[in-house]
Parts: sequence; C-alpha cells; structure tokens
Amino acid sequence: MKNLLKKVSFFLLLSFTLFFVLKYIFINREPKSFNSAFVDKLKILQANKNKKKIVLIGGSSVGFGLSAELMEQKLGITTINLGHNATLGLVDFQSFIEKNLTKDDIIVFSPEWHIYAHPDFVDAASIDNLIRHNPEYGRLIGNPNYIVESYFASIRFSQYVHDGNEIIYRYHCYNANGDIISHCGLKPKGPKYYSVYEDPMQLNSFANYFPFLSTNKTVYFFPPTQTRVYQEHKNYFAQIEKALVNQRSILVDNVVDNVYPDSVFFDEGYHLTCDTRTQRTEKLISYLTNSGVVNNRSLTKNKSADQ
Amino acid sequence: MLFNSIPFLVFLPVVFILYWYLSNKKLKYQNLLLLIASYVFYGWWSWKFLILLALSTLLDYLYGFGVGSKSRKKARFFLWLSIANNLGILGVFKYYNFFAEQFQTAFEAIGIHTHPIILQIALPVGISFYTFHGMSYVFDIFRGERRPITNFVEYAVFVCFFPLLVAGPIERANHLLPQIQNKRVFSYSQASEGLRLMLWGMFKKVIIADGLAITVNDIFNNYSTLSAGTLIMGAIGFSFQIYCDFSGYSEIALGTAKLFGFELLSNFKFPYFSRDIAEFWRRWHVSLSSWFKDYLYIPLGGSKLGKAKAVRNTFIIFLVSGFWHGASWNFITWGAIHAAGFLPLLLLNRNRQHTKEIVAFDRKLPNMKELMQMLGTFAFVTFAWIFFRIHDIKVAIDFCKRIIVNAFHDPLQFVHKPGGLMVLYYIIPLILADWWIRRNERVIRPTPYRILNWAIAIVMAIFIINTFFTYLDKQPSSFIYFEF
Repeated sequence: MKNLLKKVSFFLLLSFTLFFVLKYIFINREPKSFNSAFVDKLKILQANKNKKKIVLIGGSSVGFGLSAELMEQKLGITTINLGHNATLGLVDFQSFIEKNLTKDDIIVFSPEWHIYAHPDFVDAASIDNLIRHNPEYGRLIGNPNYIVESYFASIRFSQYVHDGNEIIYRYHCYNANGDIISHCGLKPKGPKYYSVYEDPMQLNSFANYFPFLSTNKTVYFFPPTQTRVYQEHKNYFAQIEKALVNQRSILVDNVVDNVYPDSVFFDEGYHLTCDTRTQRTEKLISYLTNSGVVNNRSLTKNKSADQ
Repeated sequence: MLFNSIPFLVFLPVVFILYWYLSNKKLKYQNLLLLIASYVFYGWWSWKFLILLALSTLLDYLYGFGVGSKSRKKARFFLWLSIANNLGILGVFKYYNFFAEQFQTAFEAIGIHTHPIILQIALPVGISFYTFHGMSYVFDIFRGERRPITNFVEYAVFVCFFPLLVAGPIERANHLLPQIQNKRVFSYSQASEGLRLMLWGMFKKVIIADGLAITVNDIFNNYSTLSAGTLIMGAIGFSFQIYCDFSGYSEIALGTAKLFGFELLSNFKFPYFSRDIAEFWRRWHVSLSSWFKDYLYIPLGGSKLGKAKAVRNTFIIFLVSGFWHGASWNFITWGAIHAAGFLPLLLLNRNRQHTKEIVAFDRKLPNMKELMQMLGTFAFVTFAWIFFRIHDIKVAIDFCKRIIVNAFHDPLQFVHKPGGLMVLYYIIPLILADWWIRRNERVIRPTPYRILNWAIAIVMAIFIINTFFTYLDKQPSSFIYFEF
C-alpha cells in the first residue's frame, strides 16, 4: 500500500513538473494576438490621461470605420481609437476609461447594433483569448476574475490557432492612435451579412453601463450598416434613433447616413475599407466642428499648423 | 459526480485512504464506507434522486425474500411485483413522456384531440443501470441460482457501488455479491492494474472522445453543407467518439473497482475488431447484451424453438436494447438495423463463428479476409450509429442520402476543412494502440519495457492535466451513456 502511494505520488510529481516545464517553454514562445492588442490601446488612453482628448468607443466598426489619426490631424486634439472587437464587450473596461478621462474630454460613442439591446454583451471565448495572450488585461481594468482566469488561461496549451500569421487580425494591426490599419491597401474580400436581433432596447440602463454618458460630452454615432441589413431592419433602427432623440442625446447624423454598399466593406458587415473610413471620418469632423462640440480654437490652431 | 471532474479527483483518494486505513479491519466497515461513499457520489448530482435510488434498493431487497420463498406461487408473485416496480420506475422517469406523445399522435390521426400530461422531470442519472442490477438479483433468486441476502448494506453496495452506479457495467448478483460478502485484502498488483486502466480510460474519454466531439458535432450540425467525404468522416468520428467515451468510462469504472479490491465484468472487448455483427455484440457493451441474453432472450426460448421464434426473439432483444438506450424512435431504429444485420447470420447458422479469441490472436496482423470482414462490420456499425446520433429519423435519412448524392462533390473537402483530417489524427493512433493490447482488455501493459511504459503513462498524464487546466473554470463534459 505504501509502495503504491509512493509510486503514484512520484508519478504525479513527475507529470506535473514536466507539464509546467513544457508550459514554461510554450508560454515564452506564445505570440500576442489580435484581441490582446486591445490592452495596448487602453495603455494609449492611460498615457494621455491628463490631456484633453477625443476618445472613440465601440467595437471593430469603430476600429475599422473611424480614423483617430485623421481627427487628431484635422482637429488638433489628441484622439484615441478604442474600437477593437465588439465580442470583447463594451462594459468591462468602462471604469478604466472613466478613470483616464478629464472633464473636457469628448466621447464619440458608436456601439454596434446588438449593444442597444444587450449593453453588457461579452463573448467568453474572446475574453479568454485576450487574457490568455495578454494576462495584463485583468490587472489593467481591475477585474480580479480575469486576473485569476488569466493564470489558468496562460498555463493552457494552445486552444486557438495563433493569429500571428493572419494578415488582418494580427497583433500589430493598429497605428499610434489605435486605428486598425492592417487591411489598408489590401483588396476587399466582400462582406458577410450579419443578423440584427430586434430585441427590446435597453437605453434606459445605458448610464449604468457606460458612466461617461453622464460625466462627459458624449456624441452618438451610428455604426456603418450594409444596405440589405438596413432595409431589413429599417423600423427597428428608426426606433433606436427616435429613442436617442427623446433622451436628448447628441446625434451626429441619422442611421441612413451610415448605410453603405457592400463594395466598401472589407470583410465583415461592420468593417469599412480604409478609403471609405477616411470619407466617413471627414463627415464626423465637419459635424463636430459645425455643431460646436469641438471648439473652433482647436481647429484654427490645427489649420495654422498645416500652413 | 463525474469521473473527469475535480470533485472526483478529491473524492477518490479520500475514500481510498479511509477504506484501506480506517475500515480495513472488518468487512462490515468496508461495506458501510462503500455505501456512504456511493451515496455521496450519487447525491453530489442530485440528493432528491438519491431518495429514489435508496427506495428502489430497499424494495428489491425486500422482494428478494418473497421471491426466495419455497412456494412457487408466492415467488412468482413477488417476481412480477419486482419487475413491475423496476419497470414502473423506468416507465415514469424515462418512458412516460414518449408514450404520452405517441398516444396523442395516434389519437390525432383518427381525429381525437387529447392533451396528455407531460412530466417536467429530469431523467435520473444511471436509472437504467441500477434498476437492471435490482432485477438481476431477483431473477437469480427466482431461478434458484442464489439465496436472498440478509444484510441490507451488502445488497445496497451491490446496487449502488459508485464505480458502476451511473453507467455500468451492469453487474450480476452472482458475480459481484460474493465479492461484497468477502473481506477485501489490498493487492498491489490489482491496484496498480486498476490505476493503469483508469489512466487509459481517462485518456480515451478526455483526450480522444472529447477531442473528436468538437469535429463530430461540427460536421453533424452542418451536414447539409458538406460533401460525402466529410460526412463519412463525421460518422466514423462518432463511431470512435462513442466507443472511447463509453469504453473509457467502463475502464475507469473497472480500474476504480480494482483499487477497492473488486473485479467487475468486462464491458468492451475491442468491438471494432469484430468480424461480423454477432461478434460485435459479444464485444460491445457486453454486460448489457449478456443481461438481455440471459434474462430476456433465453426465457423467450432463444434459438431452441425453431427458426421463426429465433428470428422473433432476435428482433425483440435488439428492439428492446435500442429502446433501453432512450425513449425515442431513432434508438429503436438503431436496434432494428442491428437486428437486420444479425438476421442473415442467424438464418445461415453463422452467428457463432467467432466466439472465442479475438482476430489474429496468435499473429501480428490479420489476413486479407479478416481485414475485409472487420472493415465491413465497422462500416455497418458506423451506418447504424448515424441513427443513434441523430434523434430525428428524417434528418438521419437525409444525412445518409447526402452521402450518396454528394458522393462525387468535392471529394477532398475533408482534407482542407479544419477538423475533417483531425478524425484520422485521433483514430489512427487509437486503432494501433487497441490492436497492440487487444489480447486482454483488462491488462494495459503497452510494452515489455518498464521505462517506456512509464514514459507513455506520463505523456498521457500530461495531456490529461492540460485538459483539466483548460476546463478548470468550466463544467467537465459528461459521458454519453449518462443519458441512458
């Protein structure tokens, strides 16, 4: 009996030791992923904590669909694009954003359609991928569960195909302002259609999920939408628009102004090509300046710098 | 509690230490500890259904005395009472809704609208197994093969011994009860054999079956868009998934029992090396098929009352076996397909050709004829598994139809579709390993070299540890046969 227990203990010790040794070797070789690049974007925000800035918030429709670089250039205000991947959700890092804002900061809030019905949407697999490739996330946003989970996530063998070789969805996919640029110059693949589930809106609870709505100047901006999707859900989108107007939210334009043909989407229904992104951003800039959301002094300063 | 869960990894060593250190002095302490441990094991899943298990155990224990009476009339009465009781439990929890729906459909066909009560209750885990334990006990008493047992704890351990409680093997009173009635003495060789079996079983379940499940589910869920090659790969994948899932469970059960000094009945004897369907059923879920043979097929007359009755009895046993798996037409169809495959062998008196040794027992490789026989049997079994896997028969037929219709469409799709080739990556090493150890399913000694055996065991353990860490914050995957 003792002999058996000794052997079993030795066997388990050896197996666990080898397991952790292999893990150690493996972890050191593990590349960061597309999802884990989001941590770096949050760090850009952190680095600009005390500056006056414009922060673009949303999922990949913002990452692909707006150019913070161009806005910064034209408006002369530091602009950070936090749009990355809607499946990471928008709620987890809200308190982090709040901590890194000044009272003069402007938020451009452009959630994907499902967020209007499910503001707390988070996809566990995406988070798992993020914290596995970049365990810093939990610590950065102050989520103790993610800190614990990232420990287990990081000692697992690879469960995902590494995206190091992916052309678009790789770790080095964004510029200094956080815009996704890995697809610029590549031939569009054409979009897939996505589904919009017309679930009841939760606009009344938005302030609980997104604290900046009550503390900062927030501008709502609708996501780029495919013509077919718009036609199918026209009434639902109109209801969202109306509800926002009733809440006296600042709207940049209408849903219909963000409807685009398939040819300008890169691969997904929300991902614009770089050229279209530039045009869309220019429209946003002109709105922000014309409406007075961004004061003219910044613009003048910028123009004189251009000259 | 699942074998592949963290609670079980804590539970097992605790019970093992208590069993051999604290309760080792007396038989009654050993049995009492096993009973408590078994009830904790079952109650971990549902304490409410633990009451059902205890009640069912108590009733069969009491019926046993009646069945053991000298008066044949009284014995017969209690036998039928026990059968009614056990089938009644199964009927309420497992089959009631099925029959209610069938009656409703039948009445609606003749224009009568009924609204039967549909029970909203979960199927108690292991119900089909422990009720069969109880029935085997009273049948054996009725047949005069054993006397009723007076010690309730011993009988309760027989019914609910935790390694076999939820998915078998379905034990026989004559095989397990004598072991329960004799004090167990620790045997190093038996315990280490048990650990090897457990490791192999765990590897088959956690790595192969659960690994295959991802691809197989993907293929079966999207079958309408896939080519024939990929669908065939999915079906083959499921054949191995269910084999590794269930035989893996059985090996963990056998191994766990060995740790406590018990030898359980074998449940799997390398079924995919069978040369015909008759042999397959002597190697697949052996404890269930032999249960049906002894307690249903033979009492019905077996094959001794002429060909017509033998055919009838064969169909009965296969249909009942299918129905035992679940209250659904697809399981009955699965049983019927096997009956149809068995029938030609029965009619030609060729159903007992391969009753003894496994194929190529004294050779390294099978000959061409044996290889073709094995492949043919496997293909037939795999075809039948499609009806087992897909609950809607129309969908199952459509799945088969697409294999034929899409036969020449994108034949190499499975090569570039992620997952298609994965099936082969899993099953080829498994077939080689099974072929290597095929002469004795209870003794897992891969090579004559000790160090090599250790190395193989450590590699398997590393894979299993990794999977446990991967799913540490998630629910472990259940065993397919827990549903039955």
